[in-house]
Amino acid sequence: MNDKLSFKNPDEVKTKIEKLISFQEEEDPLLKAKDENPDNPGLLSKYARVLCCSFDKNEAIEHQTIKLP
Amino acid sequence: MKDFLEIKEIFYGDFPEIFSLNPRFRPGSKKVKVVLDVQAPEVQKGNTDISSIFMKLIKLLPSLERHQCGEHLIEDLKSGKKGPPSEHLEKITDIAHIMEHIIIDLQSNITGMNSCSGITCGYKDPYYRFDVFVECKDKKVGVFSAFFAADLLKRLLTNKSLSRRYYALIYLAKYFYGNKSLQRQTQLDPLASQISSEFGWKKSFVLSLLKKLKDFGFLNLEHSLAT
Repeated sequence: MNDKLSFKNPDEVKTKIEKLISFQEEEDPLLKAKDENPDNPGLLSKYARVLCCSFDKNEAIEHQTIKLP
Repeated sequence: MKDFLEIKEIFYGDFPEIFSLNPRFRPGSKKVKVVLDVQAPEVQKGNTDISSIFMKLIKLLPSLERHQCGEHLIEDLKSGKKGPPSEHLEKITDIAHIMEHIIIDLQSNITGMNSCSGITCGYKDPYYRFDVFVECKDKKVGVFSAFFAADLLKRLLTNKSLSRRYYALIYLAKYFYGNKSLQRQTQLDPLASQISSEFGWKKSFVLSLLKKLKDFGFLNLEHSLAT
């Protein structure tokens, strides 16, 4: 479950920040969407490019680009 | 006028669908997802020399210098090889990518995370939209880091210098993170007085910082601000 914070207008921001801070769980439309589930290979088709990096205190941050089909 | 660097939405959750995109994501780790629009026409009017922006950033976040990059972004920025991006897409991608670095660095700095992984995903359409996913130990810190990074980049992209406020905000965020009882404090004035006294900072300066921390989702001072 994911919390969603929208930034379309100040009042909405205020309300949703309060909701976020209160740690109330909400359904995330990203996970509810019919064509978006972890087993669907088309899930990430909206992306043209992905850059990834990782940090470990004992290592430097590394980056690599993953080529999407 | 539309903001040239705009956080459209922030989500917090597991996001299993992107787990495979970074082999260093820890299984079951929570993440903050920032949906970001980088509008190039406005950016072109500002300072898009990423190298000069990076040099300002490492004054605030020195550990950025330790970053290594498969794309050689950080190395090129450190060596000065990275000139102004020649292509529009590269320009806005660099900005979104730097934002991911800032979020990672801030979270590591504030929460002391042992490891933190992330990805920056550029949309096919619209080309200027990015989903930035970063592992997140503390939801409030994740949200704060996203707001802070956007605010900071907007300032630097418009040729403004780093102000003392950014250093102090990170310092205060770290202070509050280590003092959970203070995080629950909702009375602005007594809290400002306490911090002003403890750190020897002007109360008016502390008040402005606390309001910013509220705006960035870190403190819940709504009630006291309204009175």
